[in-house]
Amino acid sequence: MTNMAVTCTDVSKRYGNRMALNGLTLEIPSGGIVGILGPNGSGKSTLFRTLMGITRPDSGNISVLGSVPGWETNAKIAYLPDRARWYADHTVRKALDWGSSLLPNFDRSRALALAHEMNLDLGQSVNGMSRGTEARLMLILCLARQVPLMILDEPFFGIDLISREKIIDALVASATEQETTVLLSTHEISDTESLFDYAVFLRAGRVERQGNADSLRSQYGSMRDIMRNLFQEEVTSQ
Amino acid sequence: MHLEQRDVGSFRFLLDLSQPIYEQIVQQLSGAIARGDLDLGAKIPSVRELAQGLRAAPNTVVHAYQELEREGLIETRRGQGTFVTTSATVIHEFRAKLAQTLLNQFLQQMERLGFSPDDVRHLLREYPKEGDRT
Amino acid sequence: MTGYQELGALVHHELSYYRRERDSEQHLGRRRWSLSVPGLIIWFAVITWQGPNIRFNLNYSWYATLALPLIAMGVATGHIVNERKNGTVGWWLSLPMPRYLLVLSKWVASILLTAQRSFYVAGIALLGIYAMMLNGTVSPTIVCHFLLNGLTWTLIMYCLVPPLAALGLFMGTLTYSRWKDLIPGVWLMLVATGWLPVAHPGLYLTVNQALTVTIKPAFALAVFATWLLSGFLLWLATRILTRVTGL
Repeated sequence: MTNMAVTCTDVSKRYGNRMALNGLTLEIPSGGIVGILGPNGSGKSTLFRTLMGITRPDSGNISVLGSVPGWETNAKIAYLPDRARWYADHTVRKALDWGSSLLPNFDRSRALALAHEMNLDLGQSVNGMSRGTEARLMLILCLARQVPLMILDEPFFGIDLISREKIIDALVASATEQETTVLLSTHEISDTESLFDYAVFLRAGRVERQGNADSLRSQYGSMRDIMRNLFQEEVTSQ
Repeated sequence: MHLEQRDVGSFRFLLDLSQPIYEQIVQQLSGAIARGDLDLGAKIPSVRELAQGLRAAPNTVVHAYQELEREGLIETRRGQGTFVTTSATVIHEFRAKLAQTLLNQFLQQMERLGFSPDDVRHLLREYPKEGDRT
Repeated sequence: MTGYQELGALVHHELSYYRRERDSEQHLGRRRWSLSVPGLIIWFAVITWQGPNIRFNLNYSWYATLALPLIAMGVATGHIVNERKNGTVGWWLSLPMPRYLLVLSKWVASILLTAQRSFYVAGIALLGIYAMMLNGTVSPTIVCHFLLNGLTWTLIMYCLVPPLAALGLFMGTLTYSRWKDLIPGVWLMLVATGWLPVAHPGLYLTVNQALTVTIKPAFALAVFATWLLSGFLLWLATRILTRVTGL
């Protein structure tokens, strides 16, 4: 139990008459980059929000880093919300101030280095940034935290190729430097699938398949093949 | 099968995303060392560089390097980086071991077809020399 | 970090208030002066145009202070609702701080932002004196009386700013909750309770023929009661964000 980053037991969450999570049971070991994969509406974002204590499940048990989700645990998690935007009246500098004053374990010098690496100008205003640039800024706010768990919900959504490459580079660098478990959900699987140490495939609020990525590769083929086989009907349109 | 070509410095990797990535890193690096594509004592990419270049999980690269270190093919020098071994003997032995493994596999397959090692030896003697091949 | 430092940092952040417009990525909706500045300009134009003909009691213009509690409520509701409209709600609700601090900081910030938006009251005072100069009724006694009356109105309305800010936050958090269908019902209840002081206006305040307002002792009691109510509303808002979010 101690070396599990996340444990979910029979977790359910209903929105109206749609089950976003439907008896989800999951164990994610700590360390490494974990892909949370599945078609739209499979429950990835709801799972992440329950881990952050934003959404309360209707039933089931969740343990994140050994404790119940909630604001106390969030001090140890860097979270990039789904479809997130940044405060449009901020500049890059003000966003870093926000991180320094409100987030524990926020390493400002690391954030400055990352901003430099990702070609962000400190005086640049968020209002008027391209989506890719804004996404880079938001990712910096996550990567600059020295925390044992990082949860990134669709960090590549609607982002140009160059920003995507820069984000992947920064993510890999940060995973090299610190002992962090990274949970990452994405649609851009062909760009990222080689990144995963561990993969979880979700469908309709349940875990369809999970395991060490290399074992899955030797057993079933590439992550994309697995997606195609598991979610044929959902993926063909994408 | 989708093979993807990824370049890291002067290295060229061919990644097959439907196969374990750890094994591919071990095989392609040890292959390059055995073939002599990498000189004795040459510096090889850091974990970070290789992980970024391959877009692979750093953990996977770390494990692959640990395996190569166990084989004695590479060595990590504190604060300087990771290097190909300076010992020609180690590489020589590794090549011999690799050749032995391949030979065993070959002989096993031939045996399944009903060829004894002596038959194989005979076949090899008959096998056209390099210059004669068309 | 102590609670006070956290609250300070949060309030500092919450003092920025804007809404991302849906259509144009480039435009930020900052409505800080949108009503008060054109209002004052029109008022200035009317006074200048009418000049010596102004015969009505200028104390009527103090009724404009009635807007202050409404501004407070609007800002507070907007503060909550905009987190969602601006796409920042995930950042806000995943902050490693207790929910009551998140609510409290928005409440304090709404009060401060209302104060910032109340400068138009000074404009009304200046324009009032300007009008008196034009119609020739200006005298030290009248000006003093006019200003004092304005100060009383402003004070009364400021007393209502904190409870209405709390109410605005509560209404805003209702939109996050599974109970958002209750919002029209809550509005009805508000109108009903709002009727209470209006039904017995003389109990709290009196406004005489010369439009001079006087505060009665019951007013202090009423204000005290509404402040207790704000505490309750903030507690409710916190509960909603923690327990019954529809997110």
